[in-house]
Amino acid sequence: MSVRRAATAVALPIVLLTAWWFISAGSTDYQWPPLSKIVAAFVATWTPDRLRSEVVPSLERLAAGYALAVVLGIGLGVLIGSSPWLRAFCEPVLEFMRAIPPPVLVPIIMLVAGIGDAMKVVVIASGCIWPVLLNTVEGVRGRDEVLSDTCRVYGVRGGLRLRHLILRAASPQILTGARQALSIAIILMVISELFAAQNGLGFTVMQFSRGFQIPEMWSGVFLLGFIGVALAGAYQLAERWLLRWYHGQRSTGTGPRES
Amino acid sequence: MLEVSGVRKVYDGHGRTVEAIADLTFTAGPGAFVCVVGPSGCGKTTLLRCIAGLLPPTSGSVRVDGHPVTGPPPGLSVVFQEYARSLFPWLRVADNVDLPLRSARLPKDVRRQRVQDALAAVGLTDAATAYPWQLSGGMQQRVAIARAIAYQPRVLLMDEPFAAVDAQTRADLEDLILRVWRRLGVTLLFVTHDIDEAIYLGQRVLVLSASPTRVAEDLMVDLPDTRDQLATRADPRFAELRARVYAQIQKASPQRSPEMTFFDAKTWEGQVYSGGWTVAHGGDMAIVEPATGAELGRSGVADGQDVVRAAATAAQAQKAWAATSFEERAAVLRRAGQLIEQNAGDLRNWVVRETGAVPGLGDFAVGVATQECYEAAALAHRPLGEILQSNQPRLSLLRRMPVGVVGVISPFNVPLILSVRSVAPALALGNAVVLKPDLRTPVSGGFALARVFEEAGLPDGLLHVLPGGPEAGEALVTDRYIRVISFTGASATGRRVAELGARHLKRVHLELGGNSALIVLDDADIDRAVSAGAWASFLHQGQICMTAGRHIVHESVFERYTRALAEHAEHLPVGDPFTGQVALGPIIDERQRDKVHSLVTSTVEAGARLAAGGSFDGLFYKPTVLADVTTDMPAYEQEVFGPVAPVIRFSTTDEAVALAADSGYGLSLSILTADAMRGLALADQIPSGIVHINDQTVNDEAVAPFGGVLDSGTGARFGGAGNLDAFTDQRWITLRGDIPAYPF
Repeated sequence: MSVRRAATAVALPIVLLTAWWFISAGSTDYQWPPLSKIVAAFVATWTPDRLRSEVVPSLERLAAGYALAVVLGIGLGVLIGSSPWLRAFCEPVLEFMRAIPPPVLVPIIMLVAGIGDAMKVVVIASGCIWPVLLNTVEGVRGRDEVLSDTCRVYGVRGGLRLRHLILRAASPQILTGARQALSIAIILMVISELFAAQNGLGFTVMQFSRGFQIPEMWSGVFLLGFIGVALAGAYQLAERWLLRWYHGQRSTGTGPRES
Repeated sequence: MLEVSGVRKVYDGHGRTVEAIADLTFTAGPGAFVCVVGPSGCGKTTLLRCIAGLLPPTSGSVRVDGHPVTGPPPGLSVVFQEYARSLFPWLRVADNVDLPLRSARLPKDVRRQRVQDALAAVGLTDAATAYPWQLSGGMQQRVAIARAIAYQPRVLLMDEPFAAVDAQTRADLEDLILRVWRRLGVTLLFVTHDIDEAIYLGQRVLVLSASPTRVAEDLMVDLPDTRDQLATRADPRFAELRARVYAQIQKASPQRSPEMTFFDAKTWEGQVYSGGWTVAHGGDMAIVEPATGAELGRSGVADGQDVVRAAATAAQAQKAWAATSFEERAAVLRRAGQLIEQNAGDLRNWVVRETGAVPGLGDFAVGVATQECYEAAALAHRPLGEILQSNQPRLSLLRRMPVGVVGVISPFNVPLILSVRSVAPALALGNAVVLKPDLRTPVSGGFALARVFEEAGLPDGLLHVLPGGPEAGEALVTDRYIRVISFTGASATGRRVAELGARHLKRVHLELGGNSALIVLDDADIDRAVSAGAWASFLHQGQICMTAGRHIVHESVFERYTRALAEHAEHLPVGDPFTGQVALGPIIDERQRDKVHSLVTSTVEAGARLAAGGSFDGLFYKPTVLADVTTDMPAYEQEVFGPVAPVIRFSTTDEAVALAADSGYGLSLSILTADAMRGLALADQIPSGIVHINDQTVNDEAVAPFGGVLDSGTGARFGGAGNLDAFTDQRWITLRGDIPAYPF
């Protein structure tokens, strides 16, 4: 990234923060503490100990739920996408499930999975799975027939076919789904910790809010934002590497026609 | 070894079955190179997929090395046409080649060696680590070939593998395939739509028939084993094979009942062509062969109602036609040209029998008609317009738009050329056409073109052929949908067309009569001049607009010229051009003959000397030479439209110019002289649309501008670039990014 682009990217945040800093400088309203207090609270609050006790468990649950959703979504997606019959059979149910906002499932999941970490992982997974699953179905279904014929002719089957044809051909769609799933995962991570939790980032922010520790609450919100940005950035790097062929092909204009 | 026996494939879908392959049987021995060609849509790809085991045949069987094919057989590989879609874009070139080997569970070092060898064989060693999409189309197809080689198949199938690469790459790839085939000793089945490629590559060419598919011919290619792009293609045997395959494919393509000829009187049988063959309101009448009086068939007779209905249909159909791509329109015109070429003899016979032309002229007319179609096909490729200068900050464009429906009226004399020269370019440029040929020549003036364009795949409703009389003509000129009229015929009728057209503000292209001068200067080669003069006056019984109606000869050679011309005329045989070896055929009908004869007799009565001819037998009028004519004699002054050559003398070149220019017409002019520049200088002083120095007056080429001045018409509206102006409207278009601010 060039210096110019980097400067463009951080210019607005700097302006906003600077404005906030000066506007809030003399604030005595306890709901809107000065930014200087929030920054001080951030340094004081998010000590390595605190990070280990509150943030790491959150991220672990996020990772577990997200991974579960991706693995299940791709697995089921490949299965459903490969069979027109199965797809027609499942489609109405999938659409119905996708339409339900995941937070309303939390009480139901609590009944089944209890109130521990398992519940939170299941909540995250249950919300994230749909974009991955539906995009995988589309990707698997829409792969090029000529490539499929090529595999058949050369006897490429089984694991080799799955790895080199089905998953790779569907990967642009799968990764689009997984990107949507990542933002849902962060939202659900926080929401799952609002119910019956003993630790976690969402839980902590809620605690601060209830205890009128407003600067600390704000610092938690900031931390959540930072985590979101960091995850999105990491995701983008991974995607660019996985789909380098796809972007290359598109930029040379030699890709298969949309059919 | 590949055996295909009794393969039949029927596609089932939505309550309708389509038989793609009817019954195919052939074998290809070990190491054979067999090319498969056939008309488009004949199921070549279906066949290939059945052999590859990608598609189960409905019945019959395919065996590879004796084993029946149920799925893709081992030891068989396929190179697809769509190289960009058959390579894995996420794998590097070497990995693409390697993947089939991995699935065959070969040891790693064997795989590496094979990949290296295969890439070296196609000259892509350096590209091993590139991704396919980083390569050109030709290189991508090389990768696909390398993958097939590395697999070491016993049978290799190729499905139009070079259809999508440029010509040079294609030649390289063809030679590459020949090398690979020799080295591997593989059985190669190569499907292509390109006849030349099939013959160049194959030891054998299988020609398939149109769907439902059968083997129409199994041809051995007896060319030397080592092929060379230049030498092999220049081999006379190559041309012979090519012609044979071509004829076979053509025979296989259209589905006609065998007992009917291409231009068969049973097709129209008292009908007209307007949205298919249909009965006309004006009834029907006989098509008479002037030489014998025999009935050649019956033609429908269109009246005003037929014309109005046809024009409305044409206007409707034209919208979609104007929106089709230029390539589609060009392809229709090219096929029309091909069909005329393929059925040239048949069409020539119609011209000869219907118009009374000699076979040579018939062949000429058919040749020009072919050329008109091909030229029109090229016209469709021309740019749509220009970018104009503008003093405003805007894009200012000239865009040519089709005019809509073009009305064409053609005469009886050379109807084929005079119809097609407007019909073909008008269609090519996106117009619809309503064509009214003369009632005496409905076939060569119209039905023949209807048949040609019907078979060439012109969409319905774009061409209407309505032979008719004055009522139909008037309806055509006044119809609201018809915006441009192209009329060829007599000057008096042309004037009437122009008047009517003007009232309806139409564009009217007129190519009318003439009384063309042929000037023989004192330094001309007289023997050649006589022969040219005879041709100019007597060809087609003088029934050509460009016929030389006035021979203007220098006094020093006058006697010699007249005597030789008369002698020439006496020796020209006149008779039925279809059955006899004659130079002149019949006049089209009795009315025309009587008109010719009255002009000749009144000229003789006025004091001219009848040097030859002047008599007739039925419709056969003897070639006639009138000597010592003066400028006020009828056969000199008027257009005769018969085989009559009035000869007048002059003493100075100024006199010759004055004589030649003294005519209401100005179509064609011929000056015969040893000094071509002098001829050209004289010609500059005489109004004429066409000038031939040292050639006679009757000439025509599709690429040349054609038309006369004065009473001969509205100038060169036909041929060459003139067609573009004749059949399009110019539209001025401007575009700007922002709406400019105006003072109020």
